[in-house]
Amino acid sequence: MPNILLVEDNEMNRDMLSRRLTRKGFFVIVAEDGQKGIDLAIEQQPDLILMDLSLPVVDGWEATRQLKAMDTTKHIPIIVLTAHAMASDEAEAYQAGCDDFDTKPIVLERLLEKMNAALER
Amino acid sequence: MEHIHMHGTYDTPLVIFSYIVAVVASYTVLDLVGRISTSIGARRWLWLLFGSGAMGMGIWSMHFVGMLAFSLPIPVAYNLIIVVVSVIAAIIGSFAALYIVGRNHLTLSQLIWAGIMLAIGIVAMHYVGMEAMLIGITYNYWYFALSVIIALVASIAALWIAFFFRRGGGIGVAWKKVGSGLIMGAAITGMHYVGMMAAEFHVDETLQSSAGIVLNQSFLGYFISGGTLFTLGISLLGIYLSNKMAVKDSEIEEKTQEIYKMNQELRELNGNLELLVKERTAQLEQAHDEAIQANMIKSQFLANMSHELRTPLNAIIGYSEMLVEEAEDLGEPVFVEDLEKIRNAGKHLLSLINDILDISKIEAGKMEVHPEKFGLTGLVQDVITTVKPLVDKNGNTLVTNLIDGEMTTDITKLRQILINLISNASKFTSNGTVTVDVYQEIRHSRAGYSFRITDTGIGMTTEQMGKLFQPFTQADASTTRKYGGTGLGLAISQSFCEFLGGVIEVDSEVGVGSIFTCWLPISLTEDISFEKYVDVQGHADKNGQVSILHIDDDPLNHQLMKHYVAKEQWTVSFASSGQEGLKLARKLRPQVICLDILMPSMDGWSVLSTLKNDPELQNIPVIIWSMVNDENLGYTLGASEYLTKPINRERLVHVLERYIPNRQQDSVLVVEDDEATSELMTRLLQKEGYAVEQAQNGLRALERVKETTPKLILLDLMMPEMDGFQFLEELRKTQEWLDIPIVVVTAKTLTGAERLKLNGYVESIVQKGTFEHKSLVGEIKRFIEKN
Repeated sequence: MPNILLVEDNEMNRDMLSRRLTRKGFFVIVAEDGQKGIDLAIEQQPDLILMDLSLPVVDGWEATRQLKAMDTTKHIPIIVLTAHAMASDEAEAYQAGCDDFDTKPIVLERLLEKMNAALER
Repeated sequence: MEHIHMHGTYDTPLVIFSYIVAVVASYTVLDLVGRISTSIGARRWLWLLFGSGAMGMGIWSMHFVGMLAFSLPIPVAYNLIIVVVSVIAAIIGSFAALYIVGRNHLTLSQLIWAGIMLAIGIVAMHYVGMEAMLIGITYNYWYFALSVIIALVASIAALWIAFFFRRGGGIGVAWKKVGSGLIMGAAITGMHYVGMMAAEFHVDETLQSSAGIVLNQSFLGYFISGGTLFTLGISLLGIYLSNKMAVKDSEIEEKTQEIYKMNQELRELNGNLELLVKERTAQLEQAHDEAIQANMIKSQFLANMSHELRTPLNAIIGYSEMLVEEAEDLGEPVFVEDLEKIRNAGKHLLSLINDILDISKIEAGKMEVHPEKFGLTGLVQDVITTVKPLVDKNGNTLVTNLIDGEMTTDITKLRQILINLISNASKFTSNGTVTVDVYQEIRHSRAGYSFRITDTGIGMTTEQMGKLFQPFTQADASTTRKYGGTGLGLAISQSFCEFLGGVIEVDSEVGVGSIFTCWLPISLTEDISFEKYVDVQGHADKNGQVSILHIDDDPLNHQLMKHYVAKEQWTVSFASSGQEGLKLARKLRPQVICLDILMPSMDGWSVLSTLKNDPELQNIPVIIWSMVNDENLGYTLGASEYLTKPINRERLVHVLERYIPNRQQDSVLVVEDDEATSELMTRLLQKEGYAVEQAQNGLRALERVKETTPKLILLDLMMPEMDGFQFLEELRKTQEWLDIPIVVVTAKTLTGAERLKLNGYVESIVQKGTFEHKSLVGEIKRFIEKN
């Protein structure tokens, strides 16, 4: 059972997505800000991280950069999720080092495809 | 000789009268001096003559009045000739003086000269006048000298005063003139009476005997009255004229003043106006800047707001989706149905928000374009998969006519445009047909693709079409209630299209349906000009033939043409000017050219005559399709057909059909043993749209001819088994094959005998290696069409 870390500050979205992923057979741990996300990733070594961009304390771009800079976490694939629809966001996210990118609202099938692809790599 | 010395007596009233005459004459002359100075040319001379005449006569009159006042105890005779000479002397002296004084500038020496002239005139007149008296006179030298000096000083003074007053102008000028007149009059009379004092009269018998006229008092009276009247008349005339002139002058002056004043006012007004305009412009500029600023802020707000809206909406859609799954698992179909409704409502809301976000991005200038290269078929299939459910929902049939090709543009935006156009078509059509055509089209010399979506729906009025692409506007308010939507879709699509260098056009009829055409250039990144495109592609369409080149400056007519020939298997290229048309005609070699007459810069007549004078283009038939009705000129210049607008579709297509041969039915048989040559010919002909059969020698060729009679045979002469000559002989044996045109293509240098053999049986002999493809194809075309 793949271990997923979901970093999302919006409580509803966090709850909803974690429940839906759990139903699809993932083991989901959650963090509500960037710093907690980093800490949990180091501690729990998840198989995949789903990262929101606008996060308190440390934002998603910074968290991604830090995770990708650390030897202990850089191998973990990160999919950035954002409600920002501007193309520059996507470019910035890739610059920060994320492996994939998806826009909210989440289309579960599409996200699952991306997650499976990232997990298989 | 006896000398009787006499002394005369003076009649006082006449002396006074003589003074008055002198004053009047002086006054007139002084007044006239001004006129002389301001006039030029003939008028100046006229005034001079008037002046000198008046003055001379005045002086003379004074003199004789003075003489009248003087009575001698004996009657005195006068010599008339000398009297006249004395008048002339007075006039000449006055003329010379006035001539000098009448100038605009007067130096002292000139003044003195003028004075001397006048003095000479006066003195000469006086003493010549005295000489006319047939009576012995001796002069006292002192008095004589005094009279001359008085004349000189008075003349200079009077002229100086005259000149001075003329320059002075202003108030009191009349009084000054009167004053100077008085002085001058005094001078003349003073001189006269001093002169008289110088004279001493004595009766000289010898002189008296000569033929003289004894002037009695009455004769002198007439004479003087005449002179005086003349002087006064001249004076009055001069004064009258000068007053009239003065009135005119003052009128002109007044008018000039008025005009100046008006001018001044206008200038002031103008200045004010400029200031006003400047102020207003500044205000408008500010308002404009503010409006732009406000609009940007609004767009920014909407962008932020829609982002904020999406987050909770996310949750709504997510949770409802999740609950649908759970309800399905739990076996609660009623819940599933309701939850689906929540989810669909959420999705609808999301699409509206997305539209708003899009339009805000466009308006805030944050729209970004990401070009990439992709295949058309893939894109259209993708779009159709997305919109299929929508099309099906209203019971519509979807028809697609695609060509494959690649383009480089922002695929996401193009996809959104197509989805929008097709879903619109589906939305406003029930149980009808939605047709998607994708075809190549050149616009403004740029290669591109057109995506045409035709529906058989409710259609629109012209008025509705007018505001179709404005944001937040649908055809009308009731549409929104009935069909939903924000009214942003088309505005967004149009904006996207413009970002991608293209345009969306609409054509519609109420109750019949609508046609939306989205044209985009083939490449967004590089400007692929039409020439380059043709070079790369070789042809403007897959079949290698452009059927119609439509040259017309009005895009509406292009639309119409497109509309008219849409059902035919023809390809149409459009040129929007004469120059572009000629360029395209050379490039494309269309089968027929449709030509408008009234076009800016280069009209249809010029295009037509250029086409017909170009050896390479003159064979392309030209159909004139214009409002202008001048068939004679059209046919004279070489047009094949003349159609006057408006014209219905059937007639246009019917005429075009005559000029667009379906070459697939025209088969050409290539008889050639060399495989490479045969292949080359075949490809060449296929490119022109002909069906081609090949045969390696005469025998095979005969077999082919038996199967299907070709429209033309291309024949090599040197071939194994059966050569060209033998083949011709065989062919001639069958009656129905006699009419097949034959073009011999050979590397052989023909002998006279061989030529003779071929004569009358072949249409043309072409030397291999020397012919040009274009001319060969042209000949083939000509022979086929002749049959």
